[in-house]
Amino acid sequence: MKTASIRSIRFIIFIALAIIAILALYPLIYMAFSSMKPTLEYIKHPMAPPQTWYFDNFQALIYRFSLVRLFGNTILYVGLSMVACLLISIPAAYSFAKLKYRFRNEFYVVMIATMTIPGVTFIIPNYLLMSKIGWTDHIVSVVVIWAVSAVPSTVFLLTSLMRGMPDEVLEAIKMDGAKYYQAMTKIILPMSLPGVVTVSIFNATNWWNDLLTPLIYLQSDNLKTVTVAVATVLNRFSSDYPLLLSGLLLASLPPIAIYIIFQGYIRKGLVVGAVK
Amino acid sequence: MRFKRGSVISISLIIVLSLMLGACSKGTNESASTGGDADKKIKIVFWNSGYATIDENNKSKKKEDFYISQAVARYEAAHPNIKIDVQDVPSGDELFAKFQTASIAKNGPDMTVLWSGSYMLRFKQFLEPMDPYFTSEERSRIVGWSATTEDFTVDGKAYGVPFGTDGTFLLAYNKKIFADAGVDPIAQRPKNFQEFVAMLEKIKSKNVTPLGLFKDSFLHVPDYWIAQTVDTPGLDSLVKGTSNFSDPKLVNIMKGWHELFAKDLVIADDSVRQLFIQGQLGMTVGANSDITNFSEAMGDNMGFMKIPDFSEDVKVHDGGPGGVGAAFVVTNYSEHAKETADFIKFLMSKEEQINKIKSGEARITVVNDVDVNEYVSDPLVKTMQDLANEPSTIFWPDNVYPAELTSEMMSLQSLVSRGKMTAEEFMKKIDQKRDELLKSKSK
Amino acid sequence: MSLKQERWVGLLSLLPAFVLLAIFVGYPMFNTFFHSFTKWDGVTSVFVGWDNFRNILSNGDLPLMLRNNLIFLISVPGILLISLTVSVLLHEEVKGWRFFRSVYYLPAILSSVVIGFLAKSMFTNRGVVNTLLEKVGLGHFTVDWLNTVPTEFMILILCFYWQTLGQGTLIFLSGLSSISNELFDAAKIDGTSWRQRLFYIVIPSLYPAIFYFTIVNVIYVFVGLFGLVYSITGGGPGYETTPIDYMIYIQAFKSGNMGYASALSVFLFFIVMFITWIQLKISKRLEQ
Repeated sequence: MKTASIRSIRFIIFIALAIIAILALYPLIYMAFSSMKPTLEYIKHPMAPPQTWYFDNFQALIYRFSLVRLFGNTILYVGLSMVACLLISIPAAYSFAKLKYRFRNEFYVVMIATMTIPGVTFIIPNYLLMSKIGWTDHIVSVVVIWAVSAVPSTVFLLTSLMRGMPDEVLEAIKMDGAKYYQAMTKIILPMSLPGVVTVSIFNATNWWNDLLTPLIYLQSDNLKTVTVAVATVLNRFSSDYPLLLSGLLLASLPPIAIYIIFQGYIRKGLVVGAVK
Repeated sequence: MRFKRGSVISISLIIVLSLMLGACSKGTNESASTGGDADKKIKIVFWNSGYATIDENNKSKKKEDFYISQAVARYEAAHPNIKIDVQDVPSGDELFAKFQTASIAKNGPDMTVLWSGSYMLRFKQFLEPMDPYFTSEERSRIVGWSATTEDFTVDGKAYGVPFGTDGTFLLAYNKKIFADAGVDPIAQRPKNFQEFVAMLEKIKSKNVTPLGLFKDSFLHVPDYWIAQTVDTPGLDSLVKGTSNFSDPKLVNIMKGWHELFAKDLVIADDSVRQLFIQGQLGMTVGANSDITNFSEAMGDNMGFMKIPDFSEDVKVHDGGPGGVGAAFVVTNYSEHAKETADFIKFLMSKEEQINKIKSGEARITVVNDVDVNEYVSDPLVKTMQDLANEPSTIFWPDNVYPAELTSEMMSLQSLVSRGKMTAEEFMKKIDQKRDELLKSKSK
Repeated sequence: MSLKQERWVGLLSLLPAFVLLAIFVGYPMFNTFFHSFTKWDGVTSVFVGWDNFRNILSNGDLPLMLRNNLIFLISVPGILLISLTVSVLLHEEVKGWRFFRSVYYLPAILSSVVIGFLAKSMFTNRGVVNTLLEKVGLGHFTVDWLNTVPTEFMILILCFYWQTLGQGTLIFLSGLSSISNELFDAAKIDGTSWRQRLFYIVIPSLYPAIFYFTIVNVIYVFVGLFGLVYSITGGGPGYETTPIDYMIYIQAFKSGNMGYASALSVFLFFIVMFITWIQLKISKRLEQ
């Protein structure tokens, strides 16, 4: 009797989760469908499955853009930003979460405060700054802006998670006279890995979709990111939405792949296993 | 914990190194592209937001097959000391933001294509006047200068060169639906708003929604009616504050706009193209590209007409909104303004305009010494080119108003169509906004 | 490790972050504060004192924008509850949970443009939603979704939820993954019910994640929502769906009033700071 009711509860849970899954998959399906429609068919039946296999949109994108370069650029920028952001954020988060010193809370609040101004207001001052340093039209500008602007939220998430780490483990290693570096690599990093992966996924997807930063800071065609390139698909005189959607679909495949690979690191019991 | 300081420093070092690594990879890039420039080539940077980079009708074109790439190749072959660097950028709001930011730092492009009229004049402080570069003969073979001059006159001070035309905005109708309702919109063309409403009501009596509009169709219909009532000089005086939007004649137009919605004659959303093709709508508004799509989908069942006049005593009869929607501009911080202007002249030359039409990437042109009909066989295109060249085509009024006034109008107009704001209130608000703008400008 | 040492380690760990933030966030912030007292077009600025702020308070748009931000603000607990529920359900590891977990994050990866496109085509007059309503006999519930203010907000919030659910489940799942299995097993042996385990083990250990999620999303609805607003309603009709950050964008990049936009940013900064400060206070009290 009890197992039967548990089973039926689990079935209801399954159905609920499945419905949400369909909702979540819907945009992707819609993009895939639309990308295979000629413009006219899309106008006529925007939601229906495509009537034929029509790959011209992808062909147009492949012919038009040097996709390898675009994807390579974007992966490079996102990768460098991720490394830079984590290198800055992990020590800061550890410091906020586990070390005790005066004004710790004040520093923490200041860091969170930097998240509360909309990014649009930073564009012009930062661009002027970059152009004075001579970093405009240079990948450094995008990497720095991405990495630095993600630091507060990254530190914030990591701090929240690190606070949950059992103090005993840390105390134990402190007693052992371990050095900062060892404490970092042996304990802090492995224990906060799920958090690090999570926040890196957030950052990477945000950066990948960011149109404004690379658009404004970079100019040369050979430095462009995928998202900027896709935004140039339509101009004032055209309304080929399937083409735009094909571009957006193509651009979102790598982040989907990255996500699927990395989310494997967020596993039940991972933390405990690592510490043992 | 003795080495902790060293560790922190080493971490910071790694960051710096990784950034420098990026710097190096860029550095090699740069030296590769500038290495051959020892003989002091002039480099012109063109932010391309106007020329097609993907051809909707021929998706197997490679980058070098596009008109602009070929034109650049031709120009560079004829002028070996000049290198044109075409950088594709998005058009619209994104380009405005990018252009504004880069121009403030004075490291924008030498030339680009911006939306014409006040969209472009907003950046006047960064734009090079074009008058010294174009002789009056060179000017006279290009139409649409009024869209690029300071005061919207044909021979005013020009801050740009007409790039291309949107043609004339039209109404497309479903012939079968109209025949069923016993209406012939061409033979019995409505002479005023009342007749237009009567016509739409006849369609509605057949249980078909008569008119489909876009969400921003304020620009296509009532704004055009305002423009045709006062004509372009009248618009200018509205902007300058010598006449008022609260003029009862103009208030009536907004009342009419509300009436269309109140009588349920209109649906306004992004699905109207779809509904029109499926035969669920009597009429819809459309630009040239829409008309072409409709004709492809519906064949002879699609007819098109100009937007009916609002009343008999308008200043411009049987016209439509449209005209030169985009213009070439040269930046005033460019070090090669002269060479850039020469390149624009080359693009506007008769041969190049013909090449552009032949490439299939543009259907109609803004120069008057090229007959489109010689190069395209589609009679529809010919008709649309003729309509575009008629003097009754009025330049988009939203390009004449200051950008802020347009954005205020666009924000508030939907309150009128939904009956949440009266036509009088709306016009009063617009007058207020205009006065506010004039005041802050004179400060 | 002595306290003194700990202080040095702590401060040195913060150093790189704060130096970079000072340059690339602090400087533009200072710049924005400065220009909020000027009339600024990006090139020349004229000092105007408190004019911009007076203008914000007096030109009549403020109450409307605050209302709009408030509507988005009160939608945050909704997505918190949904994400939390979904994560706890996923944690039960029913059939296919791995697949579900992978799929939920997809809408967050796709750009707002796609979500906006889709929402717009679903909710048109004769779009999928209305057609469906008619088919199941609820024809009189069909609405012109994109043309009435309450339904426009509904669609905006729906899209916000759509894009945030993945983030929520990811955070909470990674929070859940740090609860040790031993703790669970011990509780099971003690014979606690599922509900007890939920309220005494799962939720308390998720507190940090919950605070993080709430604070970040509260900040987000104030400073990050404009992508969705831009692509779905454009802030209209009137300014009925325009939140403050969208107005900042309009003023800075469409009207060129960058002084006014700066003042509005400063204004927004204080509002969001105040709300965040309250949240931090609450979170501290609850943690104790």
